[in-house]
Amino acid sequence: MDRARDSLLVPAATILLLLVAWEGIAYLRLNGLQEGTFAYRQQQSYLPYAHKVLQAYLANAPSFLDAGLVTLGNAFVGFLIGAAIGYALALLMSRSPWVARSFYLYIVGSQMVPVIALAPILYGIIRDETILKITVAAYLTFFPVTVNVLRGLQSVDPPALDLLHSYAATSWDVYRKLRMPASLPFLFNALKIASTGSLIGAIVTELMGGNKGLGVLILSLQYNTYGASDKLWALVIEVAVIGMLFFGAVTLAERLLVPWQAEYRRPARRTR
Amino acid sequence: MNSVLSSTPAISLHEVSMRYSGPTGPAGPALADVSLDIAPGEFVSLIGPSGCGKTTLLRLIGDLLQPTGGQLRVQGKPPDVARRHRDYGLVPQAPVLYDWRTVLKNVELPLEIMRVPPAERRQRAAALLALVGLAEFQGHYPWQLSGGMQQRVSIARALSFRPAILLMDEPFGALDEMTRERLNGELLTIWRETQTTIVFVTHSIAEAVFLSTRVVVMSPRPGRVAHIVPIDLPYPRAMTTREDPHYFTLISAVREHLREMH
Repeated sequence: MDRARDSLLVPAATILLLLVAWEGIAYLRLNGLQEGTFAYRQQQSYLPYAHKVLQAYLANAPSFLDAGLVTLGNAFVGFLIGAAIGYALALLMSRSPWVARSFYLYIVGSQMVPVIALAPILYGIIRDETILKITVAAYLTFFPVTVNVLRGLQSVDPPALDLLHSYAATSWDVYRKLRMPASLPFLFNALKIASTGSLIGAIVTELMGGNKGLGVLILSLQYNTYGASDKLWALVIEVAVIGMLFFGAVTLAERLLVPWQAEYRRPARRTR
Repeated sequence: MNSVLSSTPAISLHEVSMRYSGPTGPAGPALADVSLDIAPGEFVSLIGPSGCGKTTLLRLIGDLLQPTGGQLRVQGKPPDVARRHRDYGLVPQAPVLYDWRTVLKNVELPLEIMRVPPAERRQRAAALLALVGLAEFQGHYPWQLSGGMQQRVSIARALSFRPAILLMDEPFGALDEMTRERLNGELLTIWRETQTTIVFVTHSIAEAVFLSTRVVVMSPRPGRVAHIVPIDLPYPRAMTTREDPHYFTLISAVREHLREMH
């Protein structure tokens, strides 16, 4: 009971403290300035009041949420596709050292290309905003998944393999019963990295042009409304919250699907 | 019993030798000219100094390694055929249980691989867990059990498909003395109930003498059969056996044979 209360209380206190400090610093900057004047807007671009940011969010919630859903939706579809491709690639590479050797270098090389450079090239090929974002998100997801899952598939102990060999298990059984379950913690590690990665990939792609999404909105707030930094801050906080929710959803899925991992273990009711 | 059948050894080794090469272990001969016949239903312990090839010998019988010389028969068959026929169950040094499976599901693992129908699987696994005294722990996960309990699950798993032979590689080596003695007693009960042939690798002279029908003393690397000590203590053996003067005589005999080689 106490632990449950603490786990809510501590973050709540942290947020409260942060908000007070924020308001205080903003007050030092903006105190005495007339709202709407150039000087106010200039100082506000340094740090707007927290309550103004909240007001700005509430005033723009429908369009902000809309943009957030578009970007998150695209990122999530790309995330799923990238995870599937990444897992399949890891399976293939673990089955055949020959495939592993020939692919690995290119897979690593592919990640050396920054998304900022890649997106315009891909746009030349794909020419569809949504598919482009999904592609970039998938591209950023498959790499951590492949690398981690490959390690996971190869992480099994020799005695565990001996045991299956002694049962005359087929190689498919070895995968299904041992290698694939053993790789799940590695998969989720990769998915946590990829959850934020795919979201950022989608936003960066939108920053380079497009009609919908968080990146588009960030860009227009930056250019079209000078001094509207309260809106910009509100949007950036939304992005952070969406990222955390995405990450949290992956962590929750891990907890449900891989409950045997050391950090989730609960001792049996009997004394050990 | 049919005289032809009973005269066929469960395991037969004829001048078996093993020489390691390359990176899998220290290169060179590990076993030299090992000849040994083990009758069905026997309990044979292999004992010897570290690195004498006890585990290697067990792995050769289990077709987890192939010998570089000599002849090996398991249930009258080449070891790879015997392995594919699931003639033996392996109890490794560490229990090697799957963390993501409950105790019951761990025992069912070999049966799943052997395509035994689910209902029969569950019933057989439950019966074996009862045999090793873990009936109440079916739904637990391996990491919720003590080391001794985990090793019992490993034994139940090896017995689940009713193999004719059990190959046990120092299964109780990591356990405390009290747990080890209790599990020794339980193992003998299981052996008598299932009439399995057991080959048991151990470092403990007392354990070898308490359990076995014969103790095979091996020489240092390259391992050879140095002596075979028949253990003529009557079964069933119990705590009183451990106080029998003849038990101590036999322990001294095995210890003498081991000491001679140093």
